[in-house]
Amino acid sequence: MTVPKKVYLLKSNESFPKQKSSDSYDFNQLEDKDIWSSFKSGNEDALIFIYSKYVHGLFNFGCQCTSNQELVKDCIQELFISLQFKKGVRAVQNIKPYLFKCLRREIFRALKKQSRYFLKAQVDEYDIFQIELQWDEKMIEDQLSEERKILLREAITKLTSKQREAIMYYYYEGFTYTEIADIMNMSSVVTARKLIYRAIDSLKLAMNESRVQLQFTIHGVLP
Amino acid sequence: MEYKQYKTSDFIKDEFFVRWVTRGDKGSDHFWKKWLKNHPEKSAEVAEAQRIIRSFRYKTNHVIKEESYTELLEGILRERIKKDHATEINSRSRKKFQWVAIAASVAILLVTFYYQMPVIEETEQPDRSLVVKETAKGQKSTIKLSDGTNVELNYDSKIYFTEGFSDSTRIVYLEGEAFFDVSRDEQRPFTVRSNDISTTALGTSFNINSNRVTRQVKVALLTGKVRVEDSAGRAVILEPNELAHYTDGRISKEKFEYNNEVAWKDGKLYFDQNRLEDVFEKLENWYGVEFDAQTEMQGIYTGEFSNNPPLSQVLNGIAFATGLSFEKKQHTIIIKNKDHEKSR
Repeated sequence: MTVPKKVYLLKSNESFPKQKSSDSYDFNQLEDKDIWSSFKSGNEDALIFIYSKYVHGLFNFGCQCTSNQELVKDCIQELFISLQFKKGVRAVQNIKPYLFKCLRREIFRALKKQSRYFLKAQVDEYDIFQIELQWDEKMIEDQLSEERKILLREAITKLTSKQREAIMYYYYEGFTYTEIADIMNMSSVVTARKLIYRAIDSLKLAMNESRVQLQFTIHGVLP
Repeated sequence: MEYKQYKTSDFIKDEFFVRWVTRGDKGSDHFWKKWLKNHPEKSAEVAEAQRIIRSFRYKTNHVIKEESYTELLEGILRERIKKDHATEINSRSRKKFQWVAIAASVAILLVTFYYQMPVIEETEQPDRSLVVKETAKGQKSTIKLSDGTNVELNYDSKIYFTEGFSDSTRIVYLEGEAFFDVSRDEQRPFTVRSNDISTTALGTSFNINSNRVTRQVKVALLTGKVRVEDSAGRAVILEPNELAHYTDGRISKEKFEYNNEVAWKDGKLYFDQNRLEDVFEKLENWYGVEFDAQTEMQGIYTGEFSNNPPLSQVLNGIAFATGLSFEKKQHTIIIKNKDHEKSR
């Protein structure tokens, strides 16, 4: 630790060959691709802006992939370090899905490496991407019977982890089918769309079933 | 199929619709608002689809801890500076290689020293220790930081930071009020954390007033530019003469009066139509005294006193303007009504 610091001190009186960054300050006004190219050109403000804007979402997302929070933190740090120096990456139009894609790859790579040393597989199908439905009050008032909620909850647990993951990208993170296919390494957009359609259909089925049951009970009460 | 034939389940599959609900893009927002106006009969289905889409949540939300947040960022920034130096060395011409060689041998020498004289290294360790500076009521203090930044600490306030900072960031924690004249260093942004607010600058001067009880924070900028951000990542950029006011979880921007926000650091007491109660509360903090009001205090006071005025001068001024009288009893100053006494 001490040695690189000394070397740094020896050289600290030299000037840094970088552009001034004080005037390109308000990144909220810029489009993603401009922020990204500013970041790639070495602008520290751009780096801090991207970090502060996305790190919370990335951390939460990473913790859905594994329960090992230290690993998630390491991967996030590694991600930001490597992205800064990576050369020849294609232009990034949307920062968020790109960061998610890279972090996901980083985490699964690290988990794979880890599982080499442990006999037990680190990724537990049922533990990752646990989701639930949180209804607002209006929905509860409106029509959602206790029974229907239970059925939906059950239907969700029956989804595969891949389906849960894709659903959350779609409805929670706000990614498009194209972006989801890219993040999940799918060969085509169609695959992503099918995955989500099937998941929604099984949820819909749960809702319809409950509707039928509901009617049935009402009929049962009526003479 | 056209949108008007859509059922709830079709809406929640439709990418253009979902993007409107999750991202609220300008284009999709324009379309769907217009479309709904023309198809009011679909509003129930649309509303239901919106609610379903918004109901998906992770079972557990994980929030990154404040320490980890800074720790990670610091690591990233430090790595960046290391890399900068590495490329510098690579791009040098051969002639300069000898200098690199000399630097390397110095480094080797240092390593040797390090292993032979661990005691000396240990005594150097304290340059990473935490420094705390605080003031009581009635006190102010001026602190010069190692990077050249000047800090005026107002009464009843506290700052702390790691001695010497790091190679990539300068972070100071503040409770209470302080004025910062930040020394310019483009490589190391200067950040002040107070309550839930982070204020980041490269080289500027600004005042931060943070209230421990109400959690309100006011950042008033004199020169340069700063970025003020809350813990959720919402940020505003301040231009000179602008003030960011954080209250009830929201940041708003307004213009400010130098005398109201910053003049304290020049030793100027300033009251601009302040309620008497607030005037005496400020005097309690400024002079570290206590007041005991034995009369009703109503009314508003305006006045200014420059050059760190003695308390007696300020009280004379207030007595003249308001008809109150003061009497010192040990550590307490009793406030009475002069006119009332006379009329008795």
